[in-house]
Amino acid sequence: MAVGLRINGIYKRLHADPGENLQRVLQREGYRSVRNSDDGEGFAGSDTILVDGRPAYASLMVLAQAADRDVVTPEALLEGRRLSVVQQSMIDAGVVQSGYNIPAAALLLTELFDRNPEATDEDVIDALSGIFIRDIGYVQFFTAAELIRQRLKDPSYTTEVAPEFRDDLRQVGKVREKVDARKLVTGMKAYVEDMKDADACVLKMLRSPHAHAYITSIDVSQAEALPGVVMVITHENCPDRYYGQAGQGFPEPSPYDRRMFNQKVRHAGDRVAAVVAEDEDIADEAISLIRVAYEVLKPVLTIAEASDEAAPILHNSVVEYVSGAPDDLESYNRHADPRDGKVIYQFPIGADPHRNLAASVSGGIGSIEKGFSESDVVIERTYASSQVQCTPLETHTVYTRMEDNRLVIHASTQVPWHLRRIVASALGISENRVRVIKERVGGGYGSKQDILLEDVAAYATYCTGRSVFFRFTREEEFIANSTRHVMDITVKLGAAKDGKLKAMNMHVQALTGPYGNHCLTVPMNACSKSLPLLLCEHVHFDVETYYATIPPTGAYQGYGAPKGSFALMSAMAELADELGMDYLELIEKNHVRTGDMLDILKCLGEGREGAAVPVESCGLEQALQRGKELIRWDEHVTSDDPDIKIGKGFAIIQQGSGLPGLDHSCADIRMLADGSFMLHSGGADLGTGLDTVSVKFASEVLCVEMDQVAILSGDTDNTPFDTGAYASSGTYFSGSASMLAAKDIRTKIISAASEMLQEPEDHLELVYPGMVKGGKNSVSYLDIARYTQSGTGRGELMGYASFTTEKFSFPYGAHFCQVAVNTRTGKVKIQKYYALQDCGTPVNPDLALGQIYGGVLKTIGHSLYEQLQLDKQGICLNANLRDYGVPMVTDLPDVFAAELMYTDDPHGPYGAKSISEVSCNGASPALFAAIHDAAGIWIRSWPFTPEKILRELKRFS
Amino acid sequence: MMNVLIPGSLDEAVMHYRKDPQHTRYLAGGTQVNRLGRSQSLYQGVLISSLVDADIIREDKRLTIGAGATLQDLVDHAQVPESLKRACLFAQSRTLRCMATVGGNIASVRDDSYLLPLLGALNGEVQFHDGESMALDIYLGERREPSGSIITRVVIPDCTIPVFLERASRSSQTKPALTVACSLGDQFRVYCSAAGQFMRRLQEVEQLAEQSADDQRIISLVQRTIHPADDITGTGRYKQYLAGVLIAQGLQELKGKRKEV
Repeated sequence: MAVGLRINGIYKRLHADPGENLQRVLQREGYRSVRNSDDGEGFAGSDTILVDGRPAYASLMVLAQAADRDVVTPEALLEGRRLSVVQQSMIDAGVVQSGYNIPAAALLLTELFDRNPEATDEDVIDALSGIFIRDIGYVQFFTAAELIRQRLKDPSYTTEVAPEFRDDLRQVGKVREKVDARKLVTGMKAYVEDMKDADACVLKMLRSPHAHAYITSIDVSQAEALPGVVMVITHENCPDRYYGQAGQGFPEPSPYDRRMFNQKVRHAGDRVAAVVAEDEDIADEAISLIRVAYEVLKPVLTIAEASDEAAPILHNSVVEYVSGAPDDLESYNRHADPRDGKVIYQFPIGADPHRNLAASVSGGIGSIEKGFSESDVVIERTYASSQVQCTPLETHTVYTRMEDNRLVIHASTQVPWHLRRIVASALGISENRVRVIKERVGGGYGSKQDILLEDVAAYATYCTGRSVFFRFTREEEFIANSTRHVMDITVKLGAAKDGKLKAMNMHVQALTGPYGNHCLTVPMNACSKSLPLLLCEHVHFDVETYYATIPPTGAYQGYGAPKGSFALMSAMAELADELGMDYLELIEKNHVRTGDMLDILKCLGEGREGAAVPVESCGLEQALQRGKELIRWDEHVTSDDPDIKIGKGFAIIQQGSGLPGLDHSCADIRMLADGSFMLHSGGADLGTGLDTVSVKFASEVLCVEMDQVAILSGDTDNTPFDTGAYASSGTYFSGSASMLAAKDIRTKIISAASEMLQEPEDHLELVYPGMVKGGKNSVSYLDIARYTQSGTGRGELMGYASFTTEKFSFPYGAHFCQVAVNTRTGKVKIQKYYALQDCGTPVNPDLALGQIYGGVLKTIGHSLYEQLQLDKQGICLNANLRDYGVPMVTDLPDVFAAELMYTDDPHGPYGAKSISEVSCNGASPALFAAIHDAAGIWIRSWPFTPEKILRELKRFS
Repeated sequence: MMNVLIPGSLDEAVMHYRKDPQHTRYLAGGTQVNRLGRSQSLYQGVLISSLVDADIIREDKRLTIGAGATLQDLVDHAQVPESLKRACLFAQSRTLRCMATVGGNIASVRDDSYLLPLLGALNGEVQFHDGESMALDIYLGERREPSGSIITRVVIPDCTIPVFLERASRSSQTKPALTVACSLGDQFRVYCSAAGQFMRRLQEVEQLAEQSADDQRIISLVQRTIHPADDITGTGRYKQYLAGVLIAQGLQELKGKRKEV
């Protein structure tokens, strides 16, 4: 049946079922920017269109509802190759990062300014109220709106969108267009879903309805017999290989504790069977035909349950060690249940899986007993933080296909090389048979550091030869994607009367969930990224991570640091209260400064030996001073409403810049025949602007405009190795590799120019724009390219770099906030939030600000709203974005500002340090302190809900 | 995939519905029926959007709202009272407001309805395709099971009466724990909708409010009267507390307005 409608001004007759979901129809018709990120929840807005001029969610409509109406998609905004004012203004304001919802935002802002050319910030909030954007925290949309407003009157209008840094540099520290911004704002082919071929199969997963059970029988015969079913994979026919899903550098500290499918399911949503079929409907029907019998076991849902001596054991498995096996391993394995499979450790991580202990570690400096005995005041408090979801807009998606006899994986991943290694290992093939192409990533936040679906799709393709598309639904994103580990952190602090810290003890108890992804490193990171903020002679920590039948955990932006910071900074606030001292004064008395030695890092090596490290750049003092001024720390604010209590809080924060001694990045750069450059970076740009960083570094070194350097990144066939984008490594590691590759080619350019100009190399220098200047003459890159590639010259010039380091660069910051607590309803309103952060030289200042806003808003969400809720059987009760409670533009603080505190780091490329993860560490402890300042209560568990506040205020029992 | 029927009249739409009420849903804005795609395989849709009136007519104090009007239509209309606009704005997503119809919001009878508590407090009346009409209270009480009647209009006899309206949720767009609406026309009207307990009118509380100015007595009575369940929005006890204090506040504010008059 044909349905007529006008799409982007053109009348079309679509031959489709009138009852089909409109978003699907539009995607199929080629309007790819009408995407799906919530499966028709009508919340995230990736499917935004205009219908008769008004915004609508295409997924909430069927085709028949659009009949004879005017439908506009984001594709309509582009005029030929020319960007609209709205699109260009969004790019200029720096709002385009991972970009999945950016075409939808452009459409909504276009509709707004068509309706009201003088739209205010309030109107912008209203216009964007129907889309969820996780990466940039919305604030810079107001800058974009200002640009639009003015440019509609004066197209040449421009304004400062972010401060710029480093007058001595041409590109670094300057606001420049993000290299992939045009592609993303216009909705061009960019993401994995855009790469799939029309004849691709669809993979769907049958998931466990039980949190803990053995599969006693599974019958897939009816499913296999269904026409259109290509393959069914279960624990009975999957490869008998053990691996881990954590995308960490090999050898990983995370255990290999799973097969592709296991006989034992360990969380509600665990893999039971995969169906590969010709289309989605057939796959769904086949799944309904699979008969599974379970022996249901008792779930294990809390730290107390998991650590109980009598707890059900998740991995009563045969344990193996690649190195460092204990002497009693044989007797340890004597009572293992073969149905539980194996757990393989690369090296010991303090695990005892037969007691649900996935990992443990202890360490410290000085004598903790001595420290506490010398203290005048000692406090001990426990802080609980819940399981929070990354919620990337682009759900986990992969497309796998065969090319000749090689497997090609189009992935939305942070770790192309780890993905290649893990998939090759899982399939039992060599790595040179696998190519991973990292497409643009529509949000990762750590969750795409883990290999959650690529292994199954790759196996299906490898077995059948068919191309396979596998996309997590939003529900799967909640029940089968990695989350941040649940943690209870007990902090004990001892101090002298004057506030000087004498002893710090941190005891981290965490749940890793069903499998041990990052089970040592995330909880350990709670210590390693918080304890070094404070100087103290006597410090001790213990970390224990337990298996539990909750949804999986793994990496999440900030790793364990947001939880460690919450606990340590909150305890400092409580210590200040106990001492009767101003909290800011207490922090100023104890925080690290440039030149301090971080001895505690000797024992926080994350699975390897650590080392004491000096602080070589630290913007903490600047951040504290600026924050104090902005929030007016010394002024007490009151409300006219007696129920409203106003308070202020803050926290200091730190993170790392990659993992020195573990991370490794490479890049190469070639001079093309016209003197321009092609940069190949192993770095995986998640939308954060890493490609732009790399291009800036290369163009800075080579004295050319950025458009003279094109970049290809994250393709395991065509770019060199990189450990991946995690642990805030992008700028520091991948960026350094690009910078050093450019420096390498620079020496070759000078050498060639020396031959051409007949001058010694040390008389030559690179000058803008793309020239080598000698004492007498100069030569352009074009001429050098022609000379070297003439057939008689030295050949194509190429630079290469492999970057590793033992040097640490720590980003620091301070976050200040002011809240109003309604003591009658428990509601917390954030009136002001200031994030002051030191990322060394901000390479992309506009994008850096977006990273801060995004990190802060995300963790405001974790602190106040978000919570993965499970029932007593371990079933997730709120597996959608609305019920889970992500913050939207309508949740912004009344005043929300980020500022960059410039420092020049001696080890970072051009003085740069990381920016994104550290942004996630301040909101919880700052809000914790502010709520206490306002209402006199300490809320020691996430999220700080109105109900908890009311209970703490004893409004009801 | 949903089978869509396109009737030529509301009577024809009802006829389609009554043939298979269990598997048939009316399609207007689509925000309920199409939500989460679950309906795609469960229901057939009867498309009524072009058949239902979307006018908003203000005649003195009386407000008549076509069931096809969207929540954004109400927000944009100059003569719609602020309280009703505010209720519509509880749907903080403008995109959603541009799609969701008044009739659909009423007919879906959700415990987190944006409109129902306020329409109850405003003594709203629903009119149907066959000319029948009834008080919203009666519709919700007696007609909860789908009969196939299509709501064509909502009538608010006096949209100028003072009202108190509050909605409590963790974040701006998550499921609310509670919505309360109180009004003061000839008498108090008090409505409370809590997650896990469908909206109800609290007549005992209305009576007590006429007799007593004691907040604590109001709070206690509210807390004894409603019994919301524990769910993702909070415990039942929390919702009882919150209902009590919000309703007490609302009644106090309305009493203040009565004194002013």
